[in-house]
Amino acid sequence: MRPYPEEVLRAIQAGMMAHLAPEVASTYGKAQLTFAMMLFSIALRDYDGAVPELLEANRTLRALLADAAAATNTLAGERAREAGAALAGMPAEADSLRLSALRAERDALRAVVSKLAPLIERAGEDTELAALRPVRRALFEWLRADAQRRAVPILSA
Amino acid sequence: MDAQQLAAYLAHRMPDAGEIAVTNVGRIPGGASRETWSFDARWRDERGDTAEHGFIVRRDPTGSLLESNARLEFELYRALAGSGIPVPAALWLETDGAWLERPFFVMERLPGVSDGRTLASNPAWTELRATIARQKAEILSRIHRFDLGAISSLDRPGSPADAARHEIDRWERTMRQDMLEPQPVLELALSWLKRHLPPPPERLALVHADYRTGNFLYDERGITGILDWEMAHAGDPLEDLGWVVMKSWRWGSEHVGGLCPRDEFIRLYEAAHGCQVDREALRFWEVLGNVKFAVIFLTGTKAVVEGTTPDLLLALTAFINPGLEVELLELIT
Repeated sequence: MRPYPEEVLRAIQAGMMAHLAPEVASTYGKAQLTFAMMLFSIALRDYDGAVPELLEANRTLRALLADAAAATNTLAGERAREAGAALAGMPAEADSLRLSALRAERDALRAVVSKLAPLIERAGEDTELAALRPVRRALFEWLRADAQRRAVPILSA
Repeated sequence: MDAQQLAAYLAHRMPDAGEIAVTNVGRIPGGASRETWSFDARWRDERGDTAEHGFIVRRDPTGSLLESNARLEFELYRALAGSGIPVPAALWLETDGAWLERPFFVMERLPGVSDGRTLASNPAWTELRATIARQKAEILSRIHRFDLGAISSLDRPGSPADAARHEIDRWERTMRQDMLEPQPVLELALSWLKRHLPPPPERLALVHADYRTGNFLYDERGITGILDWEMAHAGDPLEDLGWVVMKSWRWGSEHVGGLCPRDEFIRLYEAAHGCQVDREALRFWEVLGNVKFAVIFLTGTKAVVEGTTPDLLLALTAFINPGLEVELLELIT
């Protein structure tokens, strides 16, 4: 029903500016109000696309980790054990489209990436990890794009 | 915190003062690790003359970006007085929470402003920016020459050879303690740092550890005071330089600290300090600085999510981290 949640957020934002902002006298209070407005804008930005973005992130991370698993099959010794231990934690796919379920899946996938991180990072210079370099490149690209999507130019604006 | 509480505290600290009147009490925005309040006071001294001063109160927060040590910061201000490093005079440290709800310390209020954005962008301030860049490099050199023996409680690594590892361990420990979700980019950066340790410094130095545009006061003549020493420790002086050159402190300009080109600032520091900066080692400290900055915001995010602070700045700063991740991926690729 209307108003949708994003419309409620906009209404609160407008109401605060109309009714509260003129009443706030202190510099500190005005700064907090500005922060509140910025946070509302971020929440509005992230709200509508949250589900498709999580679905896409989970699909991409799962594919990257599958590539990593295939690449690590060629490793031997300590490096193979390190990769095996990291990849052993692959989570099942989320069983619903609730944000909580999709976020839990994403966090579990990012935890696997985190465990693999030392191996993937070293692959840039360690020739025995050369098989992981395409995964390293793809992962860095995806992490960069994901961070750029989430970034808010707070310091540089 | 109100005028009545502050007047009562001044009366306690200045028993010879009469007719104490406190005005203009206000919290200063920012100060995300410790609350910063400003007030004016007027009183009649023991000779019957009227005295008037501006004060700053730094009060422990309920939740914060940092677990920092008020006593250390107070002792640093005391130790640095008269050293040629401009700092406000530290007046009283109060560990009794009864006066202002939580522990705090009081210092004099110096002239000047800390606004980095205006300093970086005001078209009329080209000369002032050049002056401040030179002063900033010279003061940094003085900080790095300061006698560490004067501050016994300073956190320090076991030896110069441990300086880099000590900082990696500090921020990795904080990250593991405070992160609410996995941090793959920070894990990649930590792995890179551990494999690219810089050569040890000749000796341990006083490291300000938050030396940036925005943490000093300035007026039309230049820098009037260096603030925010809560992260200071003994370590590699290049740690401060790595923090200075981070993109985060450019305030929308292309220049280091919003002041001058990166190489120019490094040359100013080299000239002031009489040294040659190892550019590869500087890269290590720049990566470490970005990791540290991101971890500080993880701590702030935890405070917000767990409801230990109502400060919306800490909620907002969480959204700086994606930009730091982009920068880290660039630096370690």
